[in-house]
Amino acid sequence: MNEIDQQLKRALRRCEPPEGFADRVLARVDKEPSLAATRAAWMLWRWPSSSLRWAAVAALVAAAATGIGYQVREQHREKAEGLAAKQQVMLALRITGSKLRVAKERVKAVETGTQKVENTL
Amino acid sequence: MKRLGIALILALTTAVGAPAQDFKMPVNLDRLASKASETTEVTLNGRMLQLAAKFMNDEDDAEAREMVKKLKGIYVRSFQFDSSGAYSDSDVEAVRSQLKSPAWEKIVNVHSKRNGENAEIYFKGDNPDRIDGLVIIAADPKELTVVHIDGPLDPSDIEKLGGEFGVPKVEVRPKTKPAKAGAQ
Repeated sequence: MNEIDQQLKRALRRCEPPEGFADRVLARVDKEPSLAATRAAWMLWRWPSSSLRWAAVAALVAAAATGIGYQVREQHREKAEGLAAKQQVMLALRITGSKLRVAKERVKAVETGTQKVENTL
Repeated sequence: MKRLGIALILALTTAVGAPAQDFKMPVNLDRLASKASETTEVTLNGRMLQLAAKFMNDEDDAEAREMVKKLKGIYVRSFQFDSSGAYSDSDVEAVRSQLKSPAWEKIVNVHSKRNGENAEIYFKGDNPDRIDGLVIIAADPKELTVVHIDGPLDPSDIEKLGGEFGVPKVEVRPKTKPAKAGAQ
């Protein structure tokens, strides 16, 4: 093993943090609202029981999946509502168009003298 | 304090005066559904129209989409009856009475004594280049249809709606009394 290897080994060796390091970090995190998620993750990781830790992770994943599922359902609902609204619009426009054409035909019928008409045409 | 009082009076006057220009489908029309053999009811407010416009993506829908995006509402009540006399004049009068305000102008009024067929078209607004609303009343002995389109419409929109109706040729003048073009 050469000198560089020795230096690397010394530099990368595991060492315990100084006393109170974790508490100081958490105290700092508490002061920064933007680091709340970091704190939550850290607290989760420090959870004493491994099974509880994984249960919490599973709960978080389930919550995220529920949120995504809700968003997908909302998108489907909006699409269905939008397509139904589009059909209603097209129906309304068809009825409007047909009634405008009927009115036009009746205005034309004036020429035959069969109807009474008031208009500004 | 005096200014505040004047402002309050003006605000109240405006608030009381505004509904007179607004057109609402009369409740008595909906009661006709029970007598009708066929009923078509469309109620689309501004939010629903915006939503519908988002899904009008076909090339054929482009013109309609541009028109619909501007509108505040589309309301249709259409009833077909098996026999005549299923609806009364008072049912239609409930619609007409709302269109007597100065904001509305009757553009077409066709009455056929022979067939009992009537067609009335009303435009809303003072702007000669734009219509702020449209109401159509089409009444036959066995059919009654009321269409209300709320919101700005260009004359070209009416042309597109009615095919060759030719309403764009109509000079939409503010506050002119309809002239009788013919009578029988």
